Amino acid sequence: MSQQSGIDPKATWRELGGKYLTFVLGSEEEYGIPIRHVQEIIGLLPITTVPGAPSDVLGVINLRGKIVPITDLRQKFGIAAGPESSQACIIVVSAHGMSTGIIADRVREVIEIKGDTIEPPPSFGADVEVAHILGIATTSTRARILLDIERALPESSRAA
Amino acid sequence: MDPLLPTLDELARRLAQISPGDTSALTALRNELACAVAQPPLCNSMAPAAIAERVLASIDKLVAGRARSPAQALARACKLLRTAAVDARPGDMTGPLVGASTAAAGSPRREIPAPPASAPRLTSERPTQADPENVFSLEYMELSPLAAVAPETPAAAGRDQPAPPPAEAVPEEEPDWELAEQFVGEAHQYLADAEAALLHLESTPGDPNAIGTIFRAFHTIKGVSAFMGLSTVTAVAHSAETLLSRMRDGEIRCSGGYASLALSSIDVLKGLLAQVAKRVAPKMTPALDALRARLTEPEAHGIMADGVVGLLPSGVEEAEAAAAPQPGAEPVVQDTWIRVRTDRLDRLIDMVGELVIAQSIVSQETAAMVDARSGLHRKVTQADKIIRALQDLSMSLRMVPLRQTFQKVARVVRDVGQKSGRSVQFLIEGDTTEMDRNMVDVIADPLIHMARNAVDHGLEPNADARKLAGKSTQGTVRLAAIRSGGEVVLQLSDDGAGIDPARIAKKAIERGLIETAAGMAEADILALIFEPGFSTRDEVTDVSGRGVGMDVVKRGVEALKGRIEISSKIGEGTTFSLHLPLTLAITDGMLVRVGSQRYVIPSVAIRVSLRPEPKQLSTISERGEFLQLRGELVPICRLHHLFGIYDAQEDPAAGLLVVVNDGSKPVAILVDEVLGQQQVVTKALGAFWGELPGVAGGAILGDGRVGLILDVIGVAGLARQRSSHTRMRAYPTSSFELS
Repeated sequence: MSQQSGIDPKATWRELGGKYLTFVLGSEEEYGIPIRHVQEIIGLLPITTVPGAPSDVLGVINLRGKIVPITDLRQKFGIAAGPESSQACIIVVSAHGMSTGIIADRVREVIEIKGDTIEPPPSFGADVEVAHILGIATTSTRARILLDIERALPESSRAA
Repeated sequence: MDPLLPTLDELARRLAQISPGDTSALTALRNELACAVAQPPLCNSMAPAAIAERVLASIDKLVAGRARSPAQALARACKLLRTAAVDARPGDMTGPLVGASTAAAGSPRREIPAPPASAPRLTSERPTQADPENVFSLEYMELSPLAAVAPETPAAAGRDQPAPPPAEAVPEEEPDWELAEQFVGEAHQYLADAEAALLHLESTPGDPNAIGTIFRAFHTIKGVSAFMGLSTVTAVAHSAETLLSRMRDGEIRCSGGYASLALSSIDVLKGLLAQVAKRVAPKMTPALDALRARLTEPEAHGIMADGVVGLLPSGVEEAEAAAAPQPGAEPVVQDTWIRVRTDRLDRLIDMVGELVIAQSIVSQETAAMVDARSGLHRKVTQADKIIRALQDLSMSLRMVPLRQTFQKVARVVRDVGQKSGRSVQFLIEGDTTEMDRNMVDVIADPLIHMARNAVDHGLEPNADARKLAGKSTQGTVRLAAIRSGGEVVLQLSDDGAGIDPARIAKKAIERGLIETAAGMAEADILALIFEPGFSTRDEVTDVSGRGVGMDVVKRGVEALKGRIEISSKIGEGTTFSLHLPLTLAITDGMLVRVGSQRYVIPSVAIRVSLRPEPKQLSTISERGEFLQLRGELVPICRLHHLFGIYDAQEDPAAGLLVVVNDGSKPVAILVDEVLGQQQVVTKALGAFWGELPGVAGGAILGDGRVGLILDVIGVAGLARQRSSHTRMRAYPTSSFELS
């Protein structure tokens, strides 16, 4: 949590420029994750519930013989699931050296985000945790929340 | 070196005196050799240990009666063991060189009269024996001393008069190709090391380690090839060794012409090995003879340290060409062994598992197709067969023989025997049986613990006690591995005093484990020694009996999804049988459904599954629900409560109860239905959430979905926790359900 302290914040956010995969959670909000974390995007697969797993972990899927846990970031962020659609999919990311899937209601595109368009995450007061947000990229039409995917994943995976 | 251990020299000498038919003497020596190999300094030195392993294999062959000509095989084994003995001498390769060489030359000489001892007797007793194989082996036996001495005497015979090459002395014979293939792989490694060392020597002349490496490479190749019956390889390696011993002794420097000569002998040997890899015994050629002449007397051919630097002497190229495989032949087989990263291996096994599932989906769909267009069914069936074979093959990749584990046990038996003053004979059977690599590592500890017990608790305390019981003074501990079906059974038996059920019962009552032994079956009484805190030994010894006992072993075996059995007869001994699955990767399980969820319950834990009659069910207030099963009250565990499943069958009488053993006490798990038996490949769920109580892992089911494998002990633990709380929270589960 304290990794970012001691670094000039402005410089840090500028360095965040690069390629991002953007996707939609719920019906509106658009998020981006650094493309280097993305392994592949697959359609929804049957998920096996795992008893005793953290509540935002939906369960596990079989990804070509490998068992991969699936996290629902909407639960974590308190976003209502979007209308059921055929566009929902699983983004397989590598975090902490492991493959993990996250559910997205819709994947949009891979875009280049310039460092000078990225703003630090706003402070909502001590109650709102923003550690998993790298910054906010704004264009004339929309704002995208850039995620630190390793921090956004469940608590227990970070402890490992 | 442990002074109590016989040295390889000694073993070689004794081996030479054993007649090929004396299997008991051979077995005894084999076991001693196995002990010697398993411990320092031998286990730390690659080459001698590798050779000794080969001797072990050939003795095994002899004992099993599989050797084609026993006398000859024995003579070869002797020779090989002597080579190992020479190699194993500390400081041999790098130490004072003349001393080492004479030692190498001296010891086999002393032994010469011994090996053919049985042969002349054979001749005089049966002079008219016409069995061609016997005659052949007699010839060999008479010649073998020469052959055995020659390779060891380069230094002693004098540098100026090289020893007669051994090759001619050995009659032509068909090498053992199976062993030869292994040898080629190792020999290539030795040669590669030697080559690197030679190049290093050119820049750093006189580095004793490098010279040692090169010398050892040639020496080992010489010894092993002689054992294999590859006389041409032996001859070339021997000649090269002659040159190298001069470098080693500091007589000549490794540079210029000498270095080139040594390097070209490596190239020639590589060419010869390539022939061996193709199962062709290389023949001696004039070009090879010319090379050997140069190797033994380079100066006579105008080769020296400086001058003709880098220029290959004429004749050597020819020899290289002659040794190289024939043009047009298939590519050279470099190695018959490859080391593979285990994660790649696991990935391969994963992929093959996926292929099997994908294939079964395809074959199900084609089977449902009405019109069998263009023989599609036949093609799918064909692919099916290939994929099944591929799966079997991929599973066998992780299998390794139990030999090393058995050798560890051999060491422990010997040590405990020594410490406790008992004379113990240790017999090994089936150490070539294969098991999953991961299991082999884990099973070693329980086995060693049991072996200690067998010597320290199982056998009578001393020779007098054994005499009194009318047994031979030497106790016997036997370790055997038997493959039966999908199981490996490891049996550890001793011929000691046996376990007295009355004593066990008395002790168990003292310890409060049972109230009375009345009405207990003998087997059940014996099984009490697996209870925690049970030790029958009256005093605590240095070796065993510190309160950790067979319960630890039992838990270890159960962790491997195995079970342990004991049988004992008073006065005759005790046998422990460990029944283990071949691999942990595959679980034999029962696929059950609970609501919309499916789980795999390992078959090894299941006692029985039944649909209960209402009168079998009872509820005891404050203690929960129970199933009455043959007079026993078995607690019922509602899996759907524990795992928070809402669409499951609530009424036990309408569902099924699977009675499982949680270590010792049974638990009845309520499920909706049993879907069938299935073998599944166990996979970790990942470090994502650490340990999950009740879940042992995941598996890909036949339809490609993930099924969870239940950890029966964990489930029972959860159930107990739950019943001890008046109100327990079910696991939080997600309301988000896909598909």
